[in-house]
Amino acid sequence: MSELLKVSGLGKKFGKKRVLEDVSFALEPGRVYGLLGLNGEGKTTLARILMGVIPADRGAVLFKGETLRFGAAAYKREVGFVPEDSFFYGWMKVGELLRLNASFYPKWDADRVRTLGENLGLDPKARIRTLSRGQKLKLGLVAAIGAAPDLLILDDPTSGLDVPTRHDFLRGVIRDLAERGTAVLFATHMVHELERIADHLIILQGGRIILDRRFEEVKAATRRVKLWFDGEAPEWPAIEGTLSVEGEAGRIEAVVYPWSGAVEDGIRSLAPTRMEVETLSLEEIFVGFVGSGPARPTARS
Amino acid sequence: MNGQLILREWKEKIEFPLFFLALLIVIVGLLAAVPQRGEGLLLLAGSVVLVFLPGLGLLIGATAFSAEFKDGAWEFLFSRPVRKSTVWISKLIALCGYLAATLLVYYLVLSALPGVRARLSEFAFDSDLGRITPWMLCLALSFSLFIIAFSLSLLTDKLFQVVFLSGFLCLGLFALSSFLFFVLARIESRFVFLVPVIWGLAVAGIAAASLAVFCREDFSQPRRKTLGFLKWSALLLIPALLCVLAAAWIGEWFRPLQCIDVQPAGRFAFVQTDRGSYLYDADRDKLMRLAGRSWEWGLSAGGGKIVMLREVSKGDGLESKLWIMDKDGRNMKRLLSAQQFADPRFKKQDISDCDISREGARVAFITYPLNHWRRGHLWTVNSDGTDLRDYPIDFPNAGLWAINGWTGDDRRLLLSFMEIAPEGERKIPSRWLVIFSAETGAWQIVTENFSMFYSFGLSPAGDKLGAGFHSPQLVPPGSSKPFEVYVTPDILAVFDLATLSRTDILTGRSFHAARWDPTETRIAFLTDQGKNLGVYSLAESRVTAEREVGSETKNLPRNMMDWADGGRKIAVTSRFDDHYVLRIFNGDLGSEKNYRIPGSTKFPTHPTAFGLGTKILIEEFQKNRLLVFDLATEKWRKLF
Repeated sequence: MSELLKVSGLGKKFGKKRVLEDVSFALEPGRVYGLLGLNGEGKTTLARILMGVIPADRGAVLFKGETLRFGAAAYKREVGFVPEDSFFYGWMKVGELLRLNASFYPKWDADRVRTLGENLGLDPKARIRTLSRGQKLKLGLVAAIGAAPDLLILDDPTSGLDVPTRHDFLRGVIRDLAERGTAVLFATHMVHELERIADHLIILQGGRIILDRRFEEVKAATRRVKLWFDGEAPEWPAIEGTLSVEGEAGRIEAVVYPWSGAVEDGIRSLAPTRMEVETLSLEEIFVGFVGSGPARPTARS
Repeated sequence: MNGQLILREWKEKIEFPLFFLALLIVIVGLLAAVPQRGEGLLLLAGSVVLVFLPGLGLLIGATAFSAEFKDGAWEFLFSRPVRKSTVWISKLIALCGYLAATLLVYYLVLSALPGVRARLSEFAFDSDLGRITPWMLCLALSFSLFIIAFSLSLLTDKLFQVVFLSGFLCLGLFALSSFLFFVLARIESRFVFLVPVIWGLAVAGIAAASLAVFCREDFSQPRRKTLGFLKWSALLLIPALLCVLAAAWIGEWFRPLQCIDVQPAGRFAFVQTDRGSYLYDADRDKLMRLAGRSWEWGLSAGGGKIVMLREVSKGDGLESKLWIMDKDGRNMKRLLSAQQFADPRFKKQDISDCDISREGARVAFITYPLNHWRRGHLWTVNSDGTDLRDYPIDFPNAGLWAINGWTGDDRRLLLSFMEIAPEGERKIPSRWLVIFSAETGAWQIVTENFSMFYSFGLSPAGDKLGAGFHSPQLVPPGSSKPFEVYVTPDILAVFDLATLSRTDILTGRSFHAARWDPTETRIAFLTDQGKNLGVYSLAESRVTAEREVGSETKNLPRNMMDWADGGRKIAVTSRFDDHYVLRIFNGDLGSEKNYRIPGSTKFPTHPTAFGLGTKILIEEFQKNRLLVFDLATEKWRKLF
C-alpha cells in the first residue's frame, strides 16, 4: 500500500532539551496508528510539527509524496487535527466556528457535520466559552471530521470525554473513518483506548521511536515469562529482546520482545523449577516498553 | 486576505468602534459645553486629535492577538489550510479598517463642529516638508502606533508590555525623526524628505519583521519568537535604510541643479548652483560648467577672463580658493601659487571678495584675519599672477568689505564697507563708499555714513554708480529704521566717480528697483513695490515714460526687471491670476507684449528677469528653474 505520510529524521529541540530525535515513520491510508508515549515524550510536538503549527529543526515530512515545508497550507485541507486542549475562540458560537472552519475546506461535509453535531449534542448557538471540556472536544472532533480528511491527527483528545461518548467515538467514528480510507494518527497515553481500534503501534520514548510495528504482530511477539527457582534465582542472562526484568527471592519475571524459540531455549537454560509464558495486553506491552528496565530494543517495521 | 478571517476579526473587536463612537458623543457634548473662544476648547480638541486618537491606534494594535493568547487559538489558526501570511494580513487589514473608520468619523464630526476646525488649524506649522497639520500628525502617529503595537502584540500576551514598548519605540522614532529633521534642515534641507521616508520604512520594517516571525518562527518558544523578531528587524531594517541612503545618494546625481544665485554681466550670466558654477553665454545660448561651487566671481568685459573664489575644503590653502580662467571655462588655474600665499601676511587670513579689471589685466581681492573683520588688506595682482601688491586697509572699525567693481579706466576700484561700532560701544551701522587708486594706492571717500539701502551698481561704462537712498525725513541720521524694518528708499541718485559728486535724480517716490540702460542714457525704475515702471532720461533729466505694470506686492525681488535687446526693450515679470508672465515693453513703454512663463502656477515664485542681449534669463528660485526667452524667436528654453 502506498504511503500517505512519511516522516524521516525529524528532530526538534526546545532550548537545550532534545524533544524529538531522528523520528522516522510512515502512515498508510485506512489504518489507525496508535502513537504512544509517556507525558512529555514528544507526542504533542510531533503532532504540531505534522500540522505545521511549529517548525522542525531537522528532517523531512512527505505528504502524498510531496515534501512539506514549514508554512505550507494546501496539504492541511486534507488533514484534520484535534489537539489535547481546546483551541477555539471562546467568544464564538459553535455555529459560527463551524462556518468559519468550513470556509477553509473545499471538501467540507456539512450534512455529516450536522448529523455528528446532533448526535454529540452540540448546540450551534452555544458560546464556546460556556461549553464543558468534553463538549469542546466534541466540537474539535466535528470540526476535524467535517473536513473529510485523508489524515486525521488526534492529540490525546479523548481524556475529557465521558465513557459512552469515548466508546462511540472510538468504535464508531474512528473505525468508520479508517474504513473510508482515512489514516488516523492517534496520540495518547491512555493505552487501553487504543486496544480496540489500533492497527499499528508507534511508541516514543526519550524523543526517539522505540517501536513501530503492526499491533497484532507486537501483541503476538511479546511475552511475559515467570520463572521459579529453588533457592536463589540466577543472574538473568543477556537475552536479546528483554524489555524488563524483575526479580525477588526464588522468582524472576521478565517481558521479552520479540519472542522466539531461541529466546525460549535461552530462558530454559536457567533451569527453573517452573516456567509460565503469557501473552500481554497493550497496556502491559506499553509498560514493558517504556517502564524501567535494561536498555530498550528498537523495533521498526 | 481572507474574508471570513476579516469578518471574524471585526466581530471579535466590535466593542472598540462602539466604545469610541460612544466616547465621541461625550466629547462632542463637552465641546458644545465649552465656550467657543475658551482655551478649554483648544485643549480638548488638541488632546482628542493628538493624544486620544493615537492612543486608540495603540490600543487596537496592542490587543490584536489577545484572543489567540487567551484561548490558545494559535494552534487553531496555524493548523487551518490558510497561509500564515494571509492570517496576519487579514488581521491587519481588519483592524486597520476599524482604525481608519474611527479616525474618519472623528475627523468629519470634529471638523464640522464650529470653532474646532479653526482652533485646530492654529496648531499647523510650515516646514521643509510643507504644511503639517494636527490631523496629519494624528494620522502618522495613530497608524505608526497601531502598526508597531500590532507587530509587537504577537510576542507576548502582556498588554502593558506591548503598550509600553510600542509607545517607547514610537517615541524613539519621533525623537530620531525630529533630530534628523533638524540636522537635515540645517545641513541640506532638500534631504528633509528622507525623514518621513525613514519613519515609514522603520514602521514598515517592524511590521515586516512581525510578519516574518508569524510565518517562520516557532510560537511554542516565546524566547525564540522574540529573538526571531529582533533578528528579522535587523535583517529587514538595516538593508532598507541602506537602500534609502543609496537611493538618495544615487538620486543626487540625477536630480536637477539647485540654483543659488544668478549674476548678470553684459551678455553673460554667472549661475551659481549647489553642484557647481556655470556661465550662461547669451550669444551662444549655452550654459557652460566652469568649476565646483564658488561664492564670488568677477568677469572682465574686454579681457574675456573670469576670476572666482571657490569653496574649499578644510585644510586647503588659500591657493585653492582663488582661480582664474577664460570666459569659456578653459585654462582654469590658480591665480597665485602656494609659495606666494606662504607669505606671512596671508597667515590665518581668508579671502572675502575678488574682481577683475575690465581689460582682464589686473585682479583685486580682499583678505581679512579669520574671526576678525576689521583689519583687512586689499591686494592687486596681474592676471598672470605677477606683481602682487598689498594695501592694508586703514579705516578704523571698517568691516564687511566688498569690491563694487573696477571703474571704467581700470585704474581705480570702488569699494564699500560697513562701519561697525568699536567694541563696547553701541552704534547704528552705516555704509561707506571709497575709491581706491590702483596706481597710487590712495584712498578717497566717496560718501560716508550714508543710509544707502539699494545700489543698482556701476554704470556700463563704469564711470557712475546708481543707488537708492533714504531721505532724512524718511530715516533721520542715526536711525536704525532701515536695518530693522523694510523701508524703501525715496531718493534715486547717481554718483559721478570722476568728480565724486552725487546727483539726486528722482525724489519723493518709493523706489523698489532700478537698472542702467546699456547705453547709459536712461535708468529704468520700479516704484511702489513693483506697481509702476518708469524710465528716467539722464540727458533730459526727467522721467520720459511711466506706466502701471502690476500691483503692490511684498517681498518681490529687485531683479524682476531689466533692460534687454541693447536698451530697446524692458523686461518685467508680473503675476496674473494663476500664473506669471514676462512682459516686454519698448524702451518708451509705448507698447508691450506678454508671454506666459511656461510651467508657472499660482504658487508665488516671483521670477526674476535678467536681460542678456536678445535673451532674457528667467529664474524661479522656489521652483528651481532657469529658463531663457529669446526675443527674436519668441521661444522659451529650459536650462534646468
